Amino acid sequence: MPVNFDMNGEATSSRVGAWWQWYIEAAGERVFRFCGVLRELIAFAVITLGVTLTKFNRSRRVVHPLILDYIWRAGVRLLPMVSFAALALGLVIIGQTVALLTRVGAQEYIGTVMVTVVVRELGPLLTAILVLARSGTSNAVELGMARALGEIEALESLGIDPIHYLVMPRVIGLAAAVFCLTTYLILIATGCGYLFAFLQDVPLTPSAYFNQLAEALRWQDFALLALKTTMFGAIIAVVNCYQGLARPLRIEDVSRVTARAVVQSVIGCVLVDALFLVGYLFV
Amino acid sequence: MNGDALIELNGVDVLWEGGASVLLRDVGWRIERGECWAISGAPASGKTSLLATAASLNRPGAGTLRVFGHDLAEATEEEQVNWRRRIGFVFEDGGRLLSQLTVAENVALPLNYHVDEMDEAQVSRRVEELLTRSELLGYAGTMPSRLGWRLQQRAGLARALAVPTDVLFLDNPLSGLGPRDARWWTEYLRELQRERTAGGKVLTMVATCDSFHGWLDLATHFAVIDGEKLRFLGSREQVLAVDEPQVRELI
Repeated sequence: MPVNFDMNGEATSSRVGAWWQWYIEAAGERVFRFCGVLRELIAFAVITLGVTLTKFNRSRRVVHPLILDYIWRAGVRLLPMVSFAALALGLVIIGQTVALLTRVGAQEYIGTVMVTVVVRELGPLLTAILVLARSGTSNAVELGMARALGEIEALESLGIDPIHYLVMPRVIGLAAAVFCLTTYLILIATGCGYLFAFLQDVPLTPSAYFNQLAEALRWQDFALLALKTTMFGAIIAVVNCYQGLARPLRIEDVSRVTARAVVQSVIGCVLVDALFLVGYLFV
Repeated sequence: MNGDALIELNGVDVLWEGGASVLLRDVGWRIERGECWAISGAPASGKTSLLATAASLNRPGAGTLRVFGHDLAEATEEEQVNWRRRIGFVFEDGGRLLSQLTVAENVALPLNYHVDEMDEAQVSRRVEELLTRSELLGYAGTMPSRLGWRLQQRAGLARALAVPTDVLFLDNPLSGLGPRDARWWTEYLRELQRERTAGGKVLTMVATCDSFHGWLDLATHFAVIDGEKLRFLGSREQVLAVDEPQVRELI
């Protein structure tokens, strides 16, 4: 709402008050809308979980190959891209930290830095964003098109549950893919980290480096990493499937819901990451 | 009441797909075993929505819908899935094949999903048989987007018949077809009905159409959507005897 000015060119206090009122109303509306979307997403996730638990082994001749197909599409086919990202991550972290740690004579913390940054934070988040960009969005487009072209009604007419046939394999496939790719990215990034430290003449033997890594890692890291990465994969799949399937769509809506799915997936992953950060502080 | 009513609508309001508006009000309709219905009406009068409601794909806005003797409102998800296996539905706009699957995979999908007893070789044989009959065997490995909509619709028919059905719903299958294709459909359906009757598994059919032309020899019951009402015209002889210009136009 434009602010009106009096004859001296100053905004009148009542108008300023109206502007702030409008701003608070708009912000409140957004918060309510966010809560509404969150509620629907949680409901969709609970339905998917229910279907997964009750129908996992049903129609296995159709559904199990689909799970493998999504692990292939979201996992195996992303290996080159994740290798490149791992290489870059190892280089960036070691490149930035080695100089600093060497200056203060704290090379023995290189392993700790790698574990804290790569294993706990950047590895899972970077992998999730790569999977979202490569597979999550294509899921939203595929399902949005299927919805717009009436294929979901066709599935229902055949007695096929769209959640069982379309959503469950994607959720399991993407959860497994993000977990496996993150593990792969961490291994490559830590390996490359040592390689770059070696090239920078850091006086550190491979055994000392890997001992540092082993000492910095706790069993909780493995458990939380597994939990976090599978949650990232599930969030990406659920959000993209929800946006593609949940409401009747027209072809022209598909690009809009895909963009929305990307934003909501990133927000979902970052929020879960923040929760895990709190978890890391307490365990 | 005759015990052979497969689908029964009592006081049903038929909603538009999204459920926002009522297209037909207070529909009372019994579909009995072995009947063949032809339902006509003006474009956008609600033929597809009526068909989808009768097939229990859309929920009625009011009234009761009984499918195979069970009330839809009280049915569990499991029961609904079991009904749908007994109901075939052929969509109008190119059959709505799944775009990520080939023609053969589309036809095989209901078999692979529902019929665990059949092994892959049996499924392949059944698919081959259905595609041969639909004159689509040469397109088995083709993606639906590379087929014309007429052939896609035939594949939709093959998919609907893959699992043995009791009731076959056809949404305006003759719409936009030339005389040769229209004849192919009516002959196919007549032959199918004859085979099923001879085999003791009588097939019930419900089709929508723009006009009754092409259905007069096949359908046993006729109805027309008139405003917000479903108006029953009776048998072939009764339809032919109607004097009203609107009905004569459909013949």
